[in-house]
Amino acid sequence: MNKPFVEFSNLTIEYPSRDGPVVALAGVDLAFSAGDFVCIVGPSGCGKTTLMQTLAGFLAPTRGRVALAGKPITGPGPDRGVVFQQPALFPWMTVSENAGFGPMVRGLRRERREKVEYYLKLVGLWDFRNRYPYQLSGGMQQRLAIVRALVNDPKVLLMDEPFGALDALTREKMQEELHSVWRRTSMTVVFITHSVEEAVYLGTDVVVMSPRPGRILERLCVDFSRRTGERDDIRSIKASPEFVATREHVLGLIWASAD
Amino acid sequence: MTEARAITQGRSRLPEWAITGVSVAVLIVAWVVATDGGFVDDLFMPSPSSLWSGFMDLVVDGYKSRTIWEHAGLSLERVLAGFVTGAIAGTVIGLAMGYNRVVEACFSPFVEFLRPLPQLAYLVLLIVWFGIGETAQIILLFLTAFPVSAIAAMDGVKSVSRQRVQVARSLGASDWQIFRFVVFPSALPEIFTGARLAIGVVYATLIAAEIIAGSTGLGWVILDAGRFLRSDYVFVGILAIGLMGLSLDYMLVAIEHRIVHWAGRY
Repeated sequence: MNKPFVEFSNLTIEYPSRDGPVVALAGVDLAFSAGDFVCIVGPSGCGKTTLMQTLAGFLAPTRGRVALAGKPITGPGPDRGVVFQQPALFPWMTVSENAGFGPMVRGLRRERREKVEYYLKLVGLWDFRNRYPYQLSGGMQQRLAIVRALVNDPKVLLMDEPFGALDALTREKMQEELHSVWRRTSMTVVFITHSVEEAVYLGTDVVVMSPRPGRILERLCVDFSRRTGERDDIRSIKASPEFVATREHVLGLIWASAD
Repeated sequence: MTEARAITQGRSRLPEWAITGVSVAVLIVAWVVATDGGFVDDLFMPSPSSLWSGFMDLVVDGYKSRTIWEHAGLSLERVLAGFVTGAIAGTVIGLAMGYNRVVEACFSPFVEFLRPLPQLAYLVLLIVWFGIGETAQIILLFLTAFPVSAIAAMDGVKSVSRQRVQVARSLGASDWQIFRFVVFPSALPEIFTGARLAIGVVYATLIAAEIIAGSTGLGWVILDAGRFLRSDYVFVGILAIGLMGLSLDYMLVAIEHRIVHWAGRY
């Protein structure tokens, strides 16, 4: 691997609690390059979200460090876009105002218009640009949350179970859309999910974490996502023996760690 | 909501407004029968005709040198002056209290103490300080609206979704931009709820203010006429004050629907 773009070194996060400190992450070492699509899987409470929150700059490390392009992270910033499971849109703003929030607060007027139009058209929300979020379906709301992050041109897109609240069909469609956006850009994606299938299918790297205190159990390099083109391919890839074997391997790791 | 509505519609075909109309009509008929039929003395309950003549008296001759419109106008002025200043000041302080723990620690003892305090308890003091008249009354109404609005705004700020703030911050928003574009709009529905509560309490307090610290206004007319057993004037006054309160609330609701049309719908 060449020079790491994102680097966690000996990252430990402890929360204070009444019964003494709770260790959420215990000495995590992890590095990846620009353009990687890193999927993080693990049982509930394994610290996946904590890991993401630290990279986003919402949480400071108790020990160790997190660096982006060699610089330690000191707080949230527009180089890292975030998408949560809940779209967390601004309901008092129209679709296009939501999409353009980043450039708006940063005073980038021209980028705002161009990028908003480009991304809203890309995900099929352009006709809804003057609507309000409550007038959109759940899938459309989440698309808008992703567009809002993309319009800001982040170097890293941090996604915490972004498709967890969607129905299976919408979820697969959104996986495709996200994937085609990622292929078009040089963006690095950190994608947290409960779904092992989603992780193995989407990622260039799959990171498997243990239950609390969170550690990294294994890191796999996969390339199923690079093989796709047509929708038929997707179904056959997910049914291929190689894919199934990888998926079962990861599931096995998680089951074993939960015992 | 839609399902519940579908069930009620299945049982009764009458639209809601028609049911309301029938209910009001029944009351009016009962009133006419009771009074014009001679079952109830005019002193306890004026008949429609004596209510109407009482109303015309108040419009043409007025009550104690002022027409009913003038009394109503004075009451409305007081309500608006006290409510608008109190609600705005309360909202500003409440937003600051919700946003900053130092401000909260400074103001919360006063706001918390003032809120449950019966207004009449400190009206006496206001009269001692400012004398009988407009100043004491408007300050009383200001102090009534203030804590209600302050607590609503503070709760509004505190219940802002953390993820929304995190998203805004990671998109590059400054502290002030987060307040202006995320926290303040998030708190608006609660601010409006607080305003409606506040105007209700202000309205109730108005009567006390006018009775004790004034000699004009609808509240004063009602009490003064009551002392002379003019129940026709009392009823006109009650109807007027009730309709005025209803219209004020409708106006607030209309503004609320326009500004926070998205509230509770995401």
